[in-house]
Amino acid sequence: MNRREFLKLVGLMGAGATVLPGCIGAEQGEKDTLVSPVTLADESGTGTSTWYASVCQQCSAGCGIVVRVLEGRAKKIEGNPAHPVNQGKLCARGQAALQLLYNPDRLRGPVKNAGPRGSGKFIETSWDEGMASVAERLSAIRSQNAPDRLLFLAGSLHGHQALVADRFARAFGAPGCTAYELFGNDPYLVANRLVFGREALPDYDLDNASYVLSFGANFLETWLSPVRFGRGFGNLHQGRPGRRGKIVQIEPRLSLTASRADEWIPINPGTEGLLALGIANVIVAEDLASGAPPQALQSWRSGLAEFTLERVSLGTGVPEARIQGLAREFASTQPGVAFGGASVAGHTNGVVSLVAINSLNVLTGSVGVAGGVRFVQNPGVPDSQPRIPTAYSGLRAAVDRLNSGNVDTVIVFGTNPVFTSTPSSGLREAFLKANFVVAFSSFLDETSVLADLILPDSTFLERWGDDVPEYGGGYSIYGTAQPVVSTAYDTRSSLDVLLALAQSVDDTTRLGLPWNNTLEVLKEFAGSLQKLDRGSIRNESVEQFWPELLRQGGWWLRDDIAASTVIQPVALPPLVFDEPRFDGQMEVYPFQLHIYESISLSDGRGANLPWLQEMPDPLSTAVWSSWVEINPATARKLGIQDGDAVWVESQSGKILTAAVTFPGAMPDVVSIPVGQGHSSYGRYAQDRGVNPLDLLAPLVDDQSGALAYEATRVSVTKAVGVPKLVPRLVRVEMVQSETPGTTFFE
Amino acid sequence: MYKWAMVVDLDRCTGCAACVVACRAENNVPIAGEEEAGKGRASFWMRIERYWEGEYPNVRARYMPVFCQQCANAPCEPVCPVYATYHSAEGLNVQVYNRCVGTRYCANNCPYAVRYFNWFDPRWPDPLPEQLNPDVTVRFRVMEKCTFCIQRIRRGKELAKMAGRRVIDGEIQPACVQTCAPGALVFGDLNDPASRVARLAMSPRRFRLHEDLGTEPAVFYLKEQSYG
Amino acid sequence: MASDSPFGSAARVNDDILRPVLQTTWRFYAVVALLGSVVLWGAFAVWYLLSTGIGVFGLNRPVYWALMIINFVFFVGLSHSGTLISAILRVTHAEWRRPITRGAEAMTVFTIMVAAAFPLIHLGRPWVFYYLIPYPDLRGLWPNFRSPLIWDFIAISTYLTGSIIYLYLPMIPDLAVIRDRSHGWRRYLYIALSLGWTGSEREWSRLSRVLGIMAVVIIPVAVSVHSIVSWDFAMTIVPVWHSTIFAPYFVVGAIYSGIALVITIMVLIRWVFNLQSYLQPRQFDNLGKLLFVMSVIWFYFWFADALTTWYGREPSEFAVLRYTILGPFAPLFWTMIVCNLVIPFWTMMFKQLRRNVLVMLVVSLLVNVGMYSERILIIVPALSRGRLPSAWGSYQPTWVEISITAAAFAGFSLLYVLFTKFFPVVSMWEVKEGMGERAEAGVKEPGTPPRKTVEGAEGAYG
Repeated sequence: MNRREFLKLVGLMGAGATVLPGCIGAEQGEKDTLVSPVTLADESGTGTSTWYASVCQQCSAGCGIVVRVLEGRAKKIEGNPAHPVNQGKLCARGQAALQLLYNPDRLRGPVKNAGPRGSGKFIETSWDEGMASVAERLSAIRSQNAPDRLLFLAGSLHGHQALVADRFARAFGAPGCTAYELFGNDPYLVANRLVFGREALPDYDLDNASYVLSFGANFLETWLSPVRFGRGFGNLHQGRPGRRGKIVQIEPRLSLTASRADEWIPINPGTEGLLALGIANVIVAEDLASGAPPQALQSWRSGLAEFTLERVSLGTGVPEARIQGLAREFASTQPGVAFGGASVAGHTNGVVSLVAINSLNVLTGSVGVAGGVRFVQNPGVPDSQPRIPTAYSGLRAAVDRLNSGNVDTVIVFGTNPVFTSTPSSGLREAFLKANFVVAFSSFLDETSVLADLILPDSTFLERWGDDVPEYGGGYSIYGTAQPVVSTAYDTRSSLDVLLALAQSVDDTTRLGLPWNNTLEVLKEFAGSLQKLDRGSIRNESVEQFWPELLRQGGWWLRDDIAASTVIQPVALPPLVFDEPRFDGQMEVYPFQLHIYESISLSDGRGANLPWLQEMPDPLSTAVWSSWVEINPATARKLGIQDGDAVWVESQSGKILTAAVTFPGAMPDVVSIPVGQGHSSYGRYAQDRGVNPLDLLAPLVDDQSGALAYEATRVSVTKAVGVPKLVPRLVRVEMVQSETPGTTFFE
Repeated sequence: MYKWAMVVDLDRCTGCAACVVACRAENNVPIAGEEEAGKGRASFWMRIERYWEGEYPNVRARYMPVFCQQCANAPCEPVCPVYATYHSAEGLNVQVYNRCVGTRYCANNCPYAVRYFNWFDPRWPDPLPEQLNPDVTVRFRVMEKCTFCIQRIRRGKELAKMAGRRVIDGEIQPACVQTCAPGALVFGDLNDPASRVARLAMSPRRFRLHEDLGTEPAVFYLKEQSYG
Repeated sequence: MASDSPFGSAARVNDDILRPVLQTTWRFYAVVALLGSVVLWGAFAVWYLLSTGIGVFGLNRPVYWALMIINFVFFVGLSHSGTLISAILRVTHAEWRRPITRGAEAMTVFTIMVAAAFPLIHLGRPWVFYYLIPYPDLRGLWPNFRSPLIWDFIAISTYLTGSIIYLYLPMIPDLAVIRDRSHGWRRYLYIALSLGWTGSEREWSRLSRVLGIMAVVIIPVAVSVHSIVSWDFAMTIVPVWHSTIFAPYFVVGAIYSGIALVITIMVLIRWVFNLQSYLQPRQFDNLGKLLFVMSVIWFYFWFADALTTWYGREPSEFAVLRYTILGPFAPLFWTMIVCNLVIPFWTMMFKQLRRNVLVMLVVSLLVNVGMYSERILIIVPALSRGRLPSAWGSYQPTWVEISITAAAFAGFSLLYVLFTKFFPVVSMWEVKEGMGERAEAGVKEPGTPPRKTVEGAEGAYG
């Protein structure tokens, strides 16, 4: 699409850009403002701002956004009030997406390696040259009929990205896309398939729930769809007069979610599933499982008996009475919902634990009801997107392929696995064995710095796209993303580049990808949506449907809850407990390492945005840095004071960072947020803090193959040398005895 | 006449800090960087205060979003020698950047520590300045603070005036309110008894920060409830 | 009669006291060069500050005021005693004041000049400081008279003006003496400055009357200045600052530190200019008594304030007090107590020590160390421990602030040294008057009063 076309479209959207009275109406007043005498770029308006609807792609939640554009520049991102996922709300990362667009360290055009690979020396090249060199390699691979010579490496893919990327990879006969996400959804998908019969992510209906048992899921911070859950949290506490729900958070660290829960139950890492089984046992034994299907009770009753209070309490560290209390509260307070995530999924027994946790919903009849677990039926959105596994085991297989020397060309598509995987995966070294690496990345990150050629992607605010979020509060949703500003630099949408490459390689590949660009993909799909004649937009013709779709930022259809209740797995899985395995001997490495996704930087992808770097971590209030959280009593024992430099060491590596004494840490668990420790990735991220992934042993979850990032033991020792103070918002931790009474909370 | 006020429901607040970033984005609040932030010089017109309570395992962390309380009886106002901060007819505590000479007296006298100073001239490497909100001044070496997004209030009032009506409740949202997922922040006109903010401000859970000082803040907090 | 006095005739007095004015040694240049380079370094620091931003200071949120304001309060405090002592002693006809007044008055003028520079340096945008001046501007905008800073601005300018006049008036007869003894350009300077003083009886009687008025008027001005400086703090709602006792407490502290500086300066002048016969143990004895009294009064006020806070246990106030006494400021706190109470109390109690010039020098310097600590302790801990514990912080000065502070002390010293080069540092006519010297009828001697301006003047050196 050239710019003229784009402008026409923009004009079209601008004409009808007043859908959203809350925030958009407010802009109309500007039309009467004075016109600047300065000659503006041709696409600029005249002091009038316009709001364009799109989809946030800072994480995979798929929140709808509206972007304020003034004189050709995006100025502010807000939530799309009409979008069912976030209903006009947005998280910090979404707010900060503007700095992706205006990042001073963006690649401004294609570059190629000039020097040994990985040297970080790049020189500018042209798109023509770059595309030609990739096409040449791809043609060669095809003509050699050696399909496994292409490795297509991706991250989690949104909407039609997945379709195009997967078909592209398959068209070369390569074994499809290899995708990897550190905090991927694979364990949930497996566990959900086993218990609910659906390999999908459900929506947990906090808005209507009265009781929430969350095992490790940081649903207010990073888990699945934090804005959607944030809305639910508000409603659960104060949205229903006279009925205030309760949230119990069970996890080894007092996370933001745990601190905002009504009760935090610290638990020995990896035993969350055991606790769930103990609770299930009480529910079944005390005959509290009123809503459970008879089939479930039948198949589980006998197996649960072995999880006595005594055994569970011993294993989890949770007092017997509390386990019993939890079970009774949970069973008697309906509707209630139980879910597990984040740290639970990061153990070698991740799926086993998640299955046990999921079963609690089955026992209390919380599946498919308001306030429980709900799967979107997706009656409207055709299931066109392949689900590409993102587990660590897939990445390991890719490393093996690379190490075998067969791989000629590597395509890195929207991911930074060198940073988000462990050094022990050997990915970095393996990359050097490929003949040619081409990266589609907007930044010079740890992976693209190893490439021979970087064809920079446009940011999501400059390109077409879509998303199909699954946890939309009872809606089937199709979100559309559009370029809200024209491309700032000589960058191109990677999806467009893939489609162009497919065209230039040969006709057979085109068979799978019959489109010239992303816009055509989206338009075609819009046609199929229009034919449904249901949902939020109903129009006679595609010509009218399409601009309306863009104007609204998507299409959605309220699910019929009753219709979505019927979920019957063929056979319920047995409820068992596998002891978690840990790397490192207890005597040498006395602490469990708990790593968690940073609320601002996620797995590190937000580290190049200064707004996120300077957003205080909610608990430590730290900015711009890394730290390790240690229980104050433990720290005293180790002779470590707040702010001291410490070595954290595992069998796989060691890192030097600052200690933060953390009252919400278990005595034998130390926690480090992921996100910092970049060796590349621009001025704001580079050489700042440490990456705790450097410590991880390459253990995986037995069933999903996901990285067991919670399965490493470490030692902590005070480091000799000058400590690097962690800059914090709260600079002086108040000492209870000398503080002015913080009576506001009483 | 309007009387703008905000309600912060601590039982809804998740402490997620989306408001913190939204505020920065809307109000052109400069980035301090690691070193300056370490000296306590980062500006957060909106900040989330975290308080620890108790010790492991009976430990709690409490959060409180704190921003300019727009006091009706503001301690910052009388001490300014040059009237750089004054009280607007609509109850806002207005900071006139051009007038400020930088005595920082107001900041000392603010019991809520919500006034921030430009220790240095703000700088954004290109092309980050493109993100700047054209409705909000970039400040140099003066005192600054939360304005309740006065630029949005003005625009909302202009719109209402053109339409020949009063501002509708919820029509004007400061950036923090607009982005707050759990709906912990509510903004509106206290003079309109039907507005959400007026009704919530009568809640039995309400309190105001350091009410004993008699500053009469326009920000009402609703204390947390416990389950049951 | 002249031969009876311990130091001879009026002419001898002129010779003794004018020697440093009329003769310049290499030591003078060395001292000026040394002090001048410190001042220049401070000027560089100020330039760096202005070109970079207030961020080069160690200030932060919540400590928005620190070293510059500490220096301001300290120097305003120092300025107190000069004029005040001189005025009080003049009003009460204390004979022993005679060799002290000039030096004390000059000290006031220079400390207040230095003090006045600090609020300007402290401003975020000093180039618009004139917004504080009540001038009629186009917008019809006056400064905010409710702000203690405006009171401050007015009080300081009044006090500076008054002090200069109060320094200048009694200097006129002495200037006339120098006029008649100097040559070249300096002669023209003194011709201009001495306002044609001839030493006629009418002139003397007018001078005496004006001095009487000025001495009475300047006392309330001096008291009000430091009260107003204290109100910069007391009018806020900052914990501990908001205290009714602050005004008298500041005034007492100011007089205390001022007296200490007068002693220091007297010792130095005595030593540098060989004025042992003018500045006798008697003067130091009396100053020492004053120091003793002030030390006790100062502690009384401090204690009354601290006790109220301690006993009241108002949480935010108590947090500040705790932080001051038990926190990282504890060393400074004990420095203050030792230097301001323990040492002066146990030394100034004894006549032998009061009459020992070296002891007086050491004690007076220590008192000002203590008073500087007190100024720090008043300002920094209160700001570091605000009402919201999440906004607690701390403060450490940077090289820029330290440089400017050093330059301030050097600048004050430099001004004083230059003053001694141009003006008699001891009031010659008052000394002569105290000796009972009379101008002989018909002899044109402008620097000797024709008759006792004050009854019972004899005996100052009796």
